[in-house]
Amino acid sequence: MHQEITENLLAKYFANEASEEEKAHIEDWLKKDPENRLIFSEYQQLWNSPLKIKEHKFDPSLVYTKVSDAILEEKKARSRSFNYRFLRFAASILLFVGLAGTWLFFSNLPPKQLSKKAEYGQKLKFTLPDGSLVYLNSGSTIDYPENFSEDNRQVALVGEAFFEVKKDKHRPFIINSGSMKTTVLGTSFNVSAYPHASQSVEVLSGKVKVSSEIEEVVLVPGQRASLEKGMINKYEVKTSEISSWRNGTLSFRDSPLSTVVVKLERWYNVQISLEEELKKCVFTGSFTSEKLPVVLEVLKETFGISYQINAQKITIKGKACNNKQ
Amino acid sequence: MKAGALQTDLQLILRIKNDDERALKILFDKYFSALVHFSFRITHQKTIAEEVVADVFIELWKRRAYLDITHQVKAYLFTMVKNTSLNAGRNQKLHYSFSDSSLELEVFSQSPEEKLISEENLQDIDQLLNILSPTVKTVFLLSREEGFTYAEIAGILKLSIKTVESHMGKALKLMRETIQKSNLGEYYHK
Repeated sequence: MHQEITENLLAKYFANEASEEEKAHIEDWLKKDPENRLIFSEYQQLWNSPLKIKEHKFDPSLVYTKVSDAILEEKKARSRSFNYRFLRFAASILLFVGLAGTWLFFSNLPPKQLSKKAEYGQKLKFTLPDGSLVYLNSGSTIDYPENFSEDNRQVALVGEAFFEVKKDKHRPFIINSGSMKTTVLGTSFNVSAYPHASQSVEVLSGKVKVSSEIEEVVLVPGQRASLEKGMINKYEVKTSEISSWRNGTLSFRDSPLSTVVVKLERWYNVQISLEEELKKCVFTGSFTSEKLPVVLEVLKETFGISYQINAQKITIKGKACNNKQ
Repeated sequence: MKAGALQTDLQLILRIKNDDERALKILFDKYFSALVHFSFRITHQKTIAEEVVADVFIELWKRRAYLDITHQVKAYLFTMVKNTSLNAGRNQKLHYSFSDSSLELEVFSQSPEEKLISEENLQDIDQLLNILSPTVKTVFLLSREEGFTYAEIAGILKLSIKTVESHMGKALKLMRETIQKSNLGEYYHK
């Protein structure tokens, strides 16, 4: 085995954990010697061998019976304790029977879940049951209960949103998004958690706690937390740039074209196909309330690309650029 | 509520927090097979593995009001199954050997038939895996089979990311060496 190429490194490569640098290192090593390719392919085949490990038969419905029995027990225990209290009062205050019954009926129902979605090409602004304000960016969904519980306010976000959270120091406001959790008591900040894209939180005012699987950080205004491989990294950010999308500004900073295109698709509700070679080109710039053709013209000037618009479908072609990362 | 609208794991957890039993069933069906096999690999007994998974979901339901799941729900479930499996071993005083010096995961010994590897079986990666120590095997399978990232595996098994990295390397190394030693290498060249 090559002295610098270890099994640890190869495993990282196969498991998609290798850094760009490590990948390049392996690729260099592969180019050096055909023997290396042979060794590599042996490991690769080992890695790719199909697993039949889940060969034992287990019966999910049988196991779930045990779970639902326990849930039923819990419910019975709850209503027994209510009946007992109820009986003590029934004799003296008969009038309350109807009311209590109604209360029991409604309190046992799960709170209704609501969902708001901003479609592609659309943005939404609305108020949550606690009075907090949400600006939802294109192609984003937020789920929340009709009434928040007594000890916290939890919502689930897919996509990007800006929050102006109503102050309530007894009930933290918690946003669950991707593998990130953002906790606040009352403040304004932007959360971006589109699927298959980098996740980040940017704070405009107040203090915000961001946690991932392994760590948590506290952000103050002008800071951005970005989730990278489970780790949270802090960056400074211009407050004027935070959630500029609310004012119709589409901004990019060192963004690969593959990311730019995904944002444009959501923003303008179009489908864009991009040639593989162009994906790594890096773009910085911002557009305020511009129509799509203007944006495409700028990209054309910057990268020397050509594009075709066919109804909602856009095709971008061109040669690889030399500014890629 | 729109059917099918609230399907991601965190959304299911949110529904469970709001007393929605159907969401618990959806989550159960989604991960039952992966979790019960994971537990089986620790406990080596089918009935115990099944009990462990049932207990984990009952516990999830009981604690729903206090659930504080910030990260991957799947990794959270695997962590609960690991802890419950290890407790099952301790509480029921099973006939596994306990060694103070060994890693926690290795309190359960391998069954004899698992250790037995005949040459013809070596073509089968599942057999090949049994040359690995239980911890290395578990790490490898969490990556290969469940697609967890190194960081997630480290979280579930309470190991450092560096340790996960070296276990993964060790798994590859030992498996390849075994193939070469047994002269069955040609099989993998095909």
